[in-house]
Amino acid sequence: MEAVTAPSPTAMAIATATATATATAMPETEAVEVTEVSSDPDRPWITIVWNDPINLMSYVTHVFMTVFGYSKAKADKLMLDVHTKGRAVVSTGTRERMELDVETLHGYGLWATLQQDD
Amino acid sequence: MRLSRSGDGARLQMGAVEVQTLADLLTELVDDLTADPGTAGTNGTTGTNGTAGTSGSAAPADPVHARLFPAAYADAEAERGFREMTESGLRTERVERAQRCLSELAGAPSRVAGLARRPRQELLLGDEDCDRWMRVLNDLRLVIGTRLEITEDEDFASVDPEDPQSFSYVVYGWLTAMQDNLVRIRMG
Repeated sequence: MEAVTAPSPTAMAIATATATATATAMPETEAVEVTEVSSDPDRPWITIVWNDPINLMSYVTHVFMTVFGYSKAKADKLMLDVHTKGRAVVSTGTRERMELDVETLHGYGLWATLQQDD
Repeated sequence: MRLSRSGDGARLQMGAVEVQTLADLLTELVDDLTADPGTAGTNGTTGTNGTAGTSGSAAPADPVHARLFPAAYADAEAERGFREMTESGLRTERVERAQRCLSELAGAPSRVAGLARRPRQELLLGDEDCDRWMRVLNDLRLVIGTRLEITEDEDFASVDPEDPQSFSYVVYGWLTAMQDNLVRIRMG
């Protein structure tokens, strides 16, 4: 278990997943609002599609057009980014929305992950 | 196998051996998906599916399972939550669309066509049917390709006929051609 230092007043509003010990160590009279993760809740989340040797280039383009409603040109460009650069950011938004996008892409067999943008 | 545009969709014609091969593959896929102990995930035991690897990781250790249901998060805890929320639904989706394709194959009418005058079974697929078929073909390719440890520049011509897996390479290539044709017909 990590040593936990006393939280500064501004940090108290957000109890991160890694700092649950902080919350339990505080006086019981203090109300602690527990929200999910994130040092900066304003940073958007992104969905990334990774290159893999099985998914066909034509199919990946088709999936981007179908799932996101992207034009053929945009879908092709993203597919080529995946193919040549190894990955591409295919959508941006809230964490919940990105989870939905990743789930949908997994349903199509694409290798997709989400993370907070940095 | 013949695939051609038909109206807004596609016409898929296959010989008896092809229909049987595809039906066998789909049956095996459905069996694998329904038998996989990874379904235990809904009971909060995700990652303990017998093949689970290192502790602290929610991702499955079996490569085929990991490819069909990839990790969404690098963080193990977030990943566990995501997996609990999504995997069983994705699995059901895969099983249902494979079963739908299986019953279409079983009900496909037989027609005498082609120069050889051999009977072929024919499927007329609308847009949504095409999408379902290309996803099912993709699922099959993910399973077979992962087992074969296929690489991006796989050279099928160099596969040794004595290789016990050589037939799988042929099947994989056949499924790939079928899927690619279907996508191209669908995209117009």
